[in-house]
Amino acid sequence: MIGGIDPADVRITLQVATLATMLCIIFGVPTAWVLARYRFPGHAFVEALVTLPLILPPTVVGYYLLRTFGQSSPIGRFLDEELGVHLVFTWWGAAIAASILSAPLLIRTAQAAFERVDPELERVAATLGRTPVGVFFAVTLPLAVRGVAAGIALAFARAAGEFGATIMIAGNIPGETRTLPVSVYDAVQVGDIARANATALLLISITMGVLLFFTWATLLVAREQ
Amino acid sequence: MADTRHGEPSDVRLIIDVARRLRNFDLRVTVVSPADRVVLFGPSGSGKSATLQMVAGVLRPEYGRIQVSGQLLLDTTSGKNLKARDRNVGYVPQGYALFPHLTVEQNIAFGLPRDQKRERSRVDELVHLVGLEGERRTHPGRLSGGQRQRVALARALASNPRVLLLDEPFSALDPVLRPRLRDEVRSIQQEAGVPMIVVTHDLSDAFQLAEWLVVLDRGSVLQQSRPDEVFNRPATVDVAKLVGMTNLLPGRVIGSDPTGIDVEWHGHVLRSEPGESISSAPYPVGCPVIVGIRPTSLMFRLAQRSYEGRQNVLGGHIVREVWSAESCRLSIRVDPSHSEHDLEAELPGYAYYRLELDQRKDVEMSVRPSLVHVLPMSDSLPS
Repeated sequence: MIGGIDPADVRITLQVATLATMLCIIFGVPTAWVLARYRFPGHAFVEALVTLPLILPPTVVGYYLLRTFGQSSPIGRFLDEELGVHLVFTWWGAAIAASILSAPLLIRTAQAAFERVDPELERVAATLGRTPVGVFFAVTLPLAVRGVAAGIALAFARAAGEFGATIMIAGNIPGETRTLPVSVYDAVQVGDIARANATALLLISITMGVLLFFTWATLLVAREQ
Repeated sequence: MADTRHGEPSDVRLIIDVARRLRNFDLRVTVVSPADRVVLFGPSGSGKSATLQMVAGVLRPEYGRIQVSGQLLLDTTSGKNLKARDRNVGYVPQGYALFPHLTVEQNIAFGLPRDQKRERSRVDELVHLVGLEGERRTHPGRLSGGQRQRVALARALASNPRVLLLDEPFSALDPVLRPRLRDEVRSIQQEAGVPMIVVTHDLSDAFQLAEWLVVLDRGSVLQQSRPDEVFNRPATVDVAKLVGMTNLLPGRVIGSDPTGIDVEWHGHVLRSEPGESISSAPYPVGCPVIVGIRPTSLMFRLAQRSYEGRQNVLGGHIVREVWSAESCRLSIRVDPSHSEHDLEAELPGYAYYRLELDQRKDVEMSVRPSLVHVLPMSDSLPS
């Protein structure tokens, strides 16, 4: 391939970023909604906690994931012995690591978008017979769609570029866990400057492409309103 | 009011009996209405919106009981509390809360019950009822204030609600538009045959929409009755001030008979004849009272006529004139001069010229005894 890019690196990167983004949506959007709509004891603590991965060195996150899911921990042993699931040194582990590091971007962006939705609209929707879930999908989400979509785009781009935690938990196994960012590092280590250049450029293109696509898509949605 | 809990008379249409601690005061409101069109009237921060939200089910009272048209929505003693989505009320909050991402007809269709979601004819009917045929596919952001209000009304009516709940429905509107939309809301409501509770701080809204008027202040009901009763016979000085009875004259009872009360005020005798039999003479001779007279109740004598033999005649001179679009508000210093108790009178512009008040400032006025209202001195009702 051009400049010696390994197609497997591209495939693994897209797998990791897609799964990580899906995990972010499943856990992050409800979290963002709860943080936006409810005030409860420990609200500030939860906010700080979900923002933490943004500030922490990814290697620290990766280190704790390794300790949590590795063979030395009860959770890791349970997953291995009872369910046959291996997260360490697999692309699944990389996806989990990437989802944790991308989550703050999705949660904080979506939270801000939900906070801008007038709660009076949700109350009226409830008096018109909608369940809380119905209110969310008919009113809250459509009105917050730009912010939520922007959060998803950021999360995907961040997940595609994750390096530190990925290399801690998934390592650098070509064809199995080596993503594009890991490949850049690997190429530099072995002195393959051509591959490093090509891979870095490809990574920039993918993330730019994703961000532009989401900007365009949300503009299209916004024009409808 | 507490004994309405057991065996309400059949003509009770609405019961709201709620209590809750709010930010600035304790709300403790009891409304029992025999009529279908109820207005909660009071200054801002009186708890009227909170009361409406409790009926809508979006604010929870600490304890209470709410019954609309015979249907129990909430009763904390039996633990019953219908969720907002099960109450079937047509709630229109202040500012209307239209869904900005939906068109006019989508907004209206949002209110349709689940089994009617696909019924175009019902949406057509409602669009027609509120006269918005031309704006079906418009988004709320492009509508005028009056159009938004009508969309909100249609959306609320779409759910076939057992009651319409309107929070300050006209406050966002152009003052010129207000009277027209008030009439419109009333006729739409009557056409739809749905009971209605309106929250307002506007006196004209209250008077024109209410069949049953509830005056609230700082979380308590000051008075509730038929609107003309509240306007002409406010129970307390506070209510009198809220309903625009601005002439409040401190006096003393000097005589009382089965048809009326005589009150002495700064050397003048003012006779009050409420019309109905006076309830067991609540004001004994010598009792300090407040005499209430609406600014529109003062009648002026034409320059060439005589007031011989009339009751409640006061002489004085005009010290101030304030004109609005159609009427003139006069401040009149009554002889002998009491600057601290100038009377306020309001009369239409043509009357001002008919009375030649542009040429003379000395006037003679009278008040019908039936329009002179005697109030207790303090805000505690006479027992």
